[in-house]
Amino acid sequence: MDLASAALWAWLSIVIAVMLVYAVRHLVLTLARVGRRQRPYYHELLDSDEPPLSVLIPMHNEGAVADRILSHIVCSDFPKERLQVVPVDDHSSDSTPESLSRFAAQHEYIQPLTRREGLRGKPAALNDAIELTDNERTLIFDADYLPSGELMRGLSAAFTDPEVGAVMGRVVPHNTDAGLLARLLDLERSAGYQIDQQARYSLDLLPQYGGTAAGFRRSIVHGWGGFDPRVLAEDTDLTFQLYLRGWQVAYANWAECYEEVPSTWDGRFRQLRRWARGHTQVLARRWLAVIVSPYLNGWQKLDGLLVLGIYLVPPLLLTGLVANTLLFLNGSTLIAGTVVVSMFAVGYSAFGNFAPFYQVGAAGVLDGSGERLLLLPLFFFMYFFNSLAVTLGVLDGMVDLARRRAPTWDKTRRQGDAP
Amino acid sequence: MARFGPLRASRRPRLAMDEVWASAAILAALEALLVWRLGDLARTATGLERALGGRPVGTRSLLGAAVSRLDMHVAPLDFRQLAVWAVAGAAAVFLLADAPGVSVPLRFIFAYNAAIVSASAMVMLYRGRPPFEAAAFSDLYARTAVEIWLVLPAFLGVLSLGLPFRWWERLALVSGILIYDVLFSAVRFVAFGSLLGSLGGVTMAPLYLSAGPPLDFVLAVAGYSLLVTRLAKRVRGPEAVQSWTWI
Repeated sequence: MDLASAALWAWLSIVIAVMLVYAVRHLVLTLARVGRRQRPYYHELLDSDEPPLSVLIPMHNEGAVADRILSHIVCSDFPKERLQVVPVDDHSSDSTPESLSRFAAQHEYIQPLTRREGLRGKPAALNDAIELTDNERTLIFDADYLPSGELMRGLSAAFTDPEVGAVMGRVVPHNTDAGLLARLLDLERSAGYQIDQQARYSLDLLPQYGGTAAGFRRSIVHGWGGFDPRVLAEDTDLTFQLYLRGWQVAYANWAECYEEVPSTWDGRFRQLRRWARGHTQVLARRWLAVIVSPYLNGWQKLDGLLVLGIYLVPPLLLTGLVANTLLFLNGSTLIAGTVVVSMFAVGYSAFGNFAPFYQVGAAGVLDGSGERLLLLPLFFFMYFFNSLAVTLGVLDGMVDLARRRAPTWDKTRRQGDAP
Repeated sequence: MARFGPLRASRRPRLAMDEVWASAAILAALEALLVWRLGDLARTATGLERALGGRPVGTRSLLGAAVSRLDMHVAPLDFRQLAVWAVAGAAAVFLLADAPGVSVPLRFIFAYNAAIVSASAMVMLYRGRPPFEAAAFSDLYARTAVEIWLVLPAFLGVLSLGLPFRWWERLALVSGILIYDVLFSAVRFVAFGSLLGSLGGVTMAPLYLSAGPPLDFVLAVAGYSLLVTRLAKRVRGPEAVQSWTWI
């Protein structure tokens, strides 16, 4: 074997080792969700005397869905005298301002905030909205979500626990009839929440605050000076800031909130790329702090590092694929390498919520998905699509870090499909 | 007042551990049987290859089993043909990047394969020969197929233990996929021989790297999806209440 082949083999071995770690992680999470007693949520702490609640809804050109989410909140059974809703019109140029004005005129507790200056983007919008509110319990919904009163009440209940700094609900796509992509994303989301988040919550690992269908204590975020507007993944960043300061993140698996997933490949590509870019920023900021944190035990540190590194998996596997191809072209391929790389490329190709096929399958059984699970093998055909989107996002993030470049917010376009 | 949300949030499938252990024992026995009778499987595949027009030649011992390769011929390509392949492959990558009417994920798969074809042609232009001689490629394929026969049952068997399949469902999944894969390997082997004979060595890499082991695993996942769909339907049917445990 020549030197080049030896180097390629060494790299391929590293890729395989890392992939094995992630495959085992997901197998452990799947088995823990399926076979182990679950940690209960805070249902029993629900109270008829609702603590006051602020709901923040960042919106940039959300005319297609603005009426729908506000109508949903208006029709909810949450006591309106204890509710403050702040929809943030963040530099919109469509019909969003008219929708907000109409609802504000009819409902006193809906208090729109208009932003026409400063940085556009969710973190900056949330920072301005937080200044307007004074309720400790703050929930966040993206504009395409459909929050119910029970959901808001349930998420808020987690803050009865003084150790909980943030709470996350379960996101469920409602536009699954919008095509193959939406159906695949539904399966992927199911695995990410029903298995991944719930298992990490039950195992006392690090469930994530996801930035929508979620909530946090206002005093914490306000006390830190708000979200960093240069960070695209402000949700992941908040998650790690909380854990690194000794706070907990609660996960409410029953608190299902319906969202619109991208139904176009272009929209999905841009969404994944943005997620990967933001995640890379957070990885660079927090990995060392996770290792030395006095608040996290060994398993939590391992979980935190694996979560921080998860968007590096697709580019890593892609380099493994390239290394394997070069070895083949050099006439020095080893069968085991091809077999293992193929196994990972096929088995681990849902790169949004990062679920291997067995995790998606188990989540589908828990959710009673039925025939939709027959789509499982199709995840492989998204392998290159997902890998490329994530790889470009990671590269974007690295360039941001190297050049200290402030990223621009590239929001996901909504179709406004009826639920 | 406490109100519980969707019940699916709090449920877990009831796993009968005695059935899990029994399944594990059966699957381990099947894997042992597979290693023991590997030679029979290899002979079955060779027989099918012969029936499909292939010419099995030579044998090589793998875990004590005699594994035959096919007598293949790789069509020679002169430097002009290789240059055309290299340019056409590279052009296809760019054209596919924005090809209308083809779904984006499929475009990326085609572009990846076009890139490999182009790279193969360039390597062949530089070296004057394909990555593998016909006999070496044939031997590589035959050994890969046998290794996958050994890996697939263990891979699917272990992953099926975590959900409440019945023991015979697990056995059916593993043996069904194995039988299918042995037959599929033989058919694909003959098809590869035919394609290499007509298109030459530039197709060797995409055939092996895209239509080789990845397809075996796609089939395995397809088999798993059939079983898991059946399970998902069963646990929401009339026996649903007995199928779950709560919190």
